[in-house]
Amino acid sequence: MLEINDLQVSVEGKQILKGIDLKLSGGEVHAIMGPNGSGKSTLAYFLSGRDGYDYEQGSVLFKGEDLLPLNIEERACKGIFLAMQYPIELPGVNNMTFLREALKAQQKSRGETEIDTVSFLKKVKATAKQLNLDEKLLKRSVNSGFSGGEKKRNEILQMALLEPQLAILDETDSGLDIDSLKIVAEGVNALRSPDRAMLVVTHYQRLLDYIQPDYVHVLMDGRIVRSGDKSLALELEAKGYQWLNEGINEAMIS
Amino acid sequence: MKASIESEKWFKQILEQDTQFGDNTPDWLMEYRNQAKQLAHDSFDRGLLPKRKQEAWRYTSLSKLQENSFYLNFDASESEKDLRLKNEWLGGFDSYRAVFVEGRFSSQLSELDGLPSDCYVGSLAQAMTKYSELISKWVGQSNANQSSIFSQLNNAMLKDGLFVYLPKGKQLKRPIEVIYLSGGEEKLLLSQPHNLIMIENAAQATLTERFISLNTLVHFNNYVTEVFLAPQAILNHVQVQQQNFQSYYLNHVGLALESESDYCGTFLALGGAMARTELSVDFKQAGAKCSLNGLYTISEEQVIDFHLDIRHGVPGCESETHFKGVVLAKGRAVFDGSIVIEKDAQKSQAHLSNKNLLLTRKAEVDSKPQLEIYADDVKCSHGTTIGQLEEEQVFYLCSRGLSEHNARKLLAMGFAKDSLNQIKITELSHTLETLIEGVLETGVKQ
Repeated sequence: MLEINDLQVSVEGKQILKGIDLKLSGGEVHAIMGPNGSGKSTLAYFLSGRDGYDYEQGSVLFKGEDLLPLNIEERACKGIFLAMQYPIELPGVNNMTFLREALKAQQKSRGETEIDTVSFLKKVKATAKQLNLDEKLLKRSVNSGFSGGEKKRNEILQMALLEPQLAILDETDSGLDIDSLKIVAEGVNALRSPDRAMLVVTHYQRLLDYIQPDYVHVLMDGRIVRSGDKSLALELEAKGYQWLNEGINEAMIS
Repeated sequence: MKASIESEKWFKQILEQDTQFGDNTPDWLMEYRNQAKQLAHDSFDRGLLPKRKQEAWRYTSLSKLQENSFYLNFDASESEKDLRLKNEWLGGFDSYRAVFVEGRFSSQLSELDGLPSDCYVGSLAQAMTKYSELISKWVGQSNANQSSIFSQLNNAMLKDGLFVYLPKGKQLKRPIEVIYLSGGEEKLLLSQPHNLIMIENAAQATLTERFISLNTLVHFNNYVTEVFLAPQAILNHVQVQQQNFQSYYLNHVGLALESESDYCGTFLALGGAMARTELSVDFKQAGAKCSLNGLYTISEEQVIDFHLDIRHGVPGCESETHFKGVVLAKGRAVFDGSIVIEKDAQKSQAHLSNKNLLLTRKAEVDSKPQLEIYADDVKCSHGTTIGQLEEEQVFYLCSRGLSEHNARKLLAMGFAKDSLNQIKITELSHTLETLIEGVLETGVKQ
């Protein structure tokens, strides 16, 4: 599904990603963990196509196709979805209209027939209910005045409707209390499927109790320093990131 | 110097065209016109034809207007002969409909059946006999007529326009829908409706006006709109200016508000090469309310100009003024909003805001909110913002699959839409939303 080779990316002249190799197949959930400033969000945003991230070297293939020439909306329409750490507020843009326009744009680009209004409304309402998202929020401006938890659930709502093939969840757990976290995780788990891959970017192991990953990668200083299964996350929780750092330093010294 | 005098000739030429009005004009009106004509001549001779060195016209050049010579159209029946109303001109709701073609009332296109016999909606010219006393007493009494040489020009040739009269306590079942259709011919046409809206004590009305071009040729519309609200009268008023991008539009709107009356206006300016609305609010008695919402969308090389003069001269009145603008391409917006709270106007509340969204590098806004307070127990505020779309908002929408163009359009619409909040007719809100979307659709592309 997604194949990243030796990816190097800089921001404002400073190299942030220093050679990432990563391979995700359909049905897999990969977690990327790492301390602040290790490049986790840079990787997430770079994959989404956002401006301000300068490609230096390496390749990113999505379903065998070079992702890098595509602009933001083309990537979205190909099936890449980024659930953001800080979802953006769009004053005056009705949430329902936003969802509808997004789905319409994606369906149109893929040459699919547009979903009819009745089915759309039904689906939105059912998904909102599943995510315990107040129906009133669908009629409000996108994310405006939403609580932190509501914003995150609104991201998952979009993901559920847009049915991406690659979902990137950037710090989806940040700012969530335990109840919201469970709801969000349930929403995400409901979307796990054999033809969908997920890249879960997180700071803490906590989220991974609820969204169980198949693989865990540790990103430090722009490189993946260790990969393993979910037990790696538990080990990190117990020992902290410093433990890996020491490991690297020792390896370098010897 | 000579060149500028030459180019101003058009004004006198228009003033000389008034001899062809016919004989059935009441004496008072003859006199009224002559006085206005004299004032217009005087103003012209004193060099008051707007130039950019005059503060009130500093940002709005009339040079393009002055390259042309305009003529009054005396035979509107010719223009309306083959005219059919298009659906897109209508608000889509049940209404009492008055239609004007080239500034003249068209009974053929109007639909006023069922209007109660003690009310009047329609032609000012036709009302002259029956309402002679009322009209002669009130016409020209609002502040719409005071300063501008163009309102003097309008008054000098006063003949027809909209007349609305609602007697005490009356409430119409349907909104009043007025459509002004005008266009150019080989001769460039000037139309100058003079509109008089009189709502008596505790009567209520909803009035929507749309200003529409029949073609893409140059034309010039010079309106005066006088609104008189008696004590406790209520008017919900909507003006939608959607003339073509070659045309000129001036509207001098004067509101005279008596005690506890409630005026609620929405002003949409979407069209015109140069379009200017001068809005003057005059609180005549205590306890009146005036709420003004406005939206201008400006593209190509349009200049759209709003001048607001809100005068609190008596105690306990409230004014709430919110204008928004979306400026695209090389468009230029002028907003000059002035509030004056006089010494005796204690317990006044006055708030004014002007928010602008610039979507292109060459778009320009000159915003000048002013607040003068001479009383000490008042609540007032004013402010202006000029901004651009947040790039992260555009990114967010694109990351969900929307094209950048659609993202910008949706965000601009999100910015603009709440200007329609005061419109209580759902169908009209929808119609206008679609209309604004259409303007932004083409505008965002440029």
